[in-house]
Amino acid sequence: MSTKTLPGRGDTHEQGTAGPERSADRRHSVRRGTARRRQARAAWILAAPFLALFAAFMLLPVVWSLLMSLTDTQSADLRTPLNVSFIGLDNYVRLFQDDQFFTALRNTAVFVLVALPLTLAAGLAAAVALDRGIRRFRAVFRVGFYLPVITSIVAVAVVWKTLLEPRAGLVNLVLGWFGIDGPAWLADTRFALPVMIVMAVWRNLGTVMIIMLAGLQSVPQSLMEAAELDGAGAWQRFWRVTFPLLRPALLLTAVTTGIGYLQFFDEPFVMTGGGPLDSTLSATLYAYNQFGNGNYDMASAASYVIFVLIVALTVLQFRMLRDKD
Amino acid sequence: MCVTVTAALMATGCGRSADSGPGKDAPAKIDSGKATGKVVMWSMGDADKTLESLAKKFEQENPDADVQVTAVPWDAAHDKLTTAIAGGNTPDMSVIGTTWMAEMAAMNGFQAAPASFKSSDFYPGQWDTTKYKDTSYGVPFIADTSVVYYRTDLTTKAGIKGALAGDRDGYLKDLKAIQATAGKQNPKLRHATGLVMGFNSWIFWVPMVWQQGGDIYDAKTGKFTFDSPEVAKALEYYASVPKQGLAPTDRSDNVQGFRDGLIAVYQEAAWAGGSFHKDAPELDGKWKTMPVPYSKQPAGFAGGSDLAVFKEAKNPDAAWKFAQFLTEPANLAAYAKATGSLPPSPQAWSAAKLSEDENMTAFAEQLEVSKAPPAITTWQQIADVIDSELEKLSLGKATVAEVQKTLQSKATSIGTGR
Repeated sequence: MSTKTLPGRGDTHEQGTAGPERSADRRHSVRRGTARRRQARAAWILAAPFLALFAAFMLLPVVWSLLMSLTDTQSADLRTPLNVSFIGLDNYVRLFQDDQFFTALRNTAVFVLVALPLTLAAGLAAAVALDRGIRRFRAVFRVGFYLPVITSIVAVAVVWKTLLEPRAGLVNLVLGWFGIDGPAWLADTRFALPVMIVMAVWRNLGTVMIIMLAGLQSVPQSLMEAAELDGAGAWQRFWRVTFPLLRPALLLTAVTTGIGYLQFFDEPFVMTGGGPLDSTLSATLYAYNQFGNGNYDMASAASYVIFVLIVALTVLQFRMLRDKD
Repeated sequence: MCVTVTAALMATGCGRSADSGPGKDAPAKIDSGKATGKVVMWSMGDADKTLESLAKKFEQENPDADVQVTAVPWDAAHDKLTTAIAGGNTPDMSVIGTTWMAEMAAMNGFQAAPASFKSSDFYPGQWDTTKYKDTSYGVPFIADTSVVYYRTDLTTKAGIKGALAGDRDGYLKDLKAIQATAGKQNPKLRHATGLVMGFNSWIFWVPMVWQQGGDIYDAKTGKFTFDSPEVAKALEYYASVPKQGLAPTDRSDNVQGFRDGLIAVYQEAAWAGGSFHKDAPELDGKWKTMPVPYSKQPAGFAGGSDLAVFKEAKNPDAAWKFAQFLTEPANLAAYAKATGSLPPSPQAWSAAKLSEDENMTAFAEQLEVSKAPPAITTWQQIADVIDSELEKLSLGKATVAEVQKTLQSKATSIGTGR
């Protein structure tokens, strides 16, 4: 039947109008085009499962949460969504009228501003020490510093909580041997947040150390020798040669650790519940509490404020640490 | 209002009839025959062997019924229940913590309890935990209240014969006497009593308001009454103990402190007795219980768990029949005996002969006068505010008047939910 020839017909017709001299060239490019299209189709098919999962479990909740932060959704509305109404930025206004949220933001800021530089400095120091000094026990130290990183944060928090228990805890017991009456660490507004900062530094310096160590070991020996020939001392060699080359490693650790610290949650959640007197309440814990109380609207709004802060901090870090060229 | 973002996204619920819904449900009906079909039940905590053996007994009595008990860990339970209700994908029934009842009933999650369950069979406070907007959405299953535990070896050295005084002033005097023995007669003792600070401290404070004859919420007007003189009095009572140095404010572990003799007296729920017996048998016979001291009238806190059948239950009839079976006095008694929890009905107490244990009589007395917290959906938030204000008060960071003002204004702004 004539209909069977139809699919090919368009091509021949087109070829005719394109002119005989360019037809071979064109046929070639058409073939390449379909090949590319076929390849693209295969790529999409292969990526589809991931994209579907990503859309369903990451993208949709993120967008939904943004929408929810603009409504008055409560837990009771999950069954009767008709009650939900659009209230614009009211939740954000309420958030910034809540003293507790400011306390939470302030605690988070203190935590990040103190713990982040300390972690980076301690991690760098540990890496340099391992790279140069202590050669014999290098493996032991690497494991020792890295062990806290791979231990579950909840387990760490529970152990620290036990150690710091005011009456029966080991820390105060040892202090007692020296006649020191130890404070109620986690129930004292002066000590609770500093304790968590120390814990965070102790726990995260291992990650920083490993990345810095890799950076240190990739510094070309020839550069160091050249610097040495030029008469640079050990200190100068470190600041003028090694440190600039560590910039990418520093940026990576600063950004990832910074984001982690802005989401500071597990330690206060397990150890103090945000107390005493909200002194360890973090922004994420605040959002979590709002969610637990069924205020999905406020929880979403608080999460978006944290998100904006994370973006801001990351941009700032890129500005400060990015390679100038 | 059908034109809202979330409504559009969820695409459910439009056209739900207005005459049913939380607080307006007609009681469920159960027929008189035997239960048939499969019943899926969630229980909280670890796998509950006692509940499973009761389910076996139920299956023997109802050969065509098949009960499946699934354990849900407590810390995941709240989220799991709310998402199940929201998604309309629930089991037939579940054990529900009493403080969640109002919230989940307001989500339109539960069926109203059949009229065959009689409130008079249960302690009034426990029955009230099932209510939301005057409708009962479940049946009490596990009662809970707290009493005062005291170390007789430490209190006798303070010259106290038997229990501490039952009135608040006398009780405070006794605590001072105990505190005075710290160091000399009682070398380990640091404080007369322990204080619960922060999370869930409201459980110990709200009954003090009830004992004054007041309340924190007026269900008739729907208004909070934190500005009442009874609340002021209760706040003074609460603060007086740490203020006089009779209790530490360092959140140290009361259970451990009591076992080690660092404190002599403290208020706790029924599980503590079982845990002392199990983990510190050397203390057996050295501790006793007494009802919570009061000022004007006795009152305590009613907690625990209820049984609820979900709106979307596939087999509600058999589920209610199982709930009925579980709350028969003999079965409540068997459950309480095996698990060490308190049964919510007086008949079950006598069936289990619990009062033969003298340390249990304080609980029986306390359950008679225990009350449920207000059944409003925002209760947990109000409770959080109370917790943090009580903390300020006991650390001396705020006065009674300031705390009262903050409580009233914060509670009012949180409201009672829609």
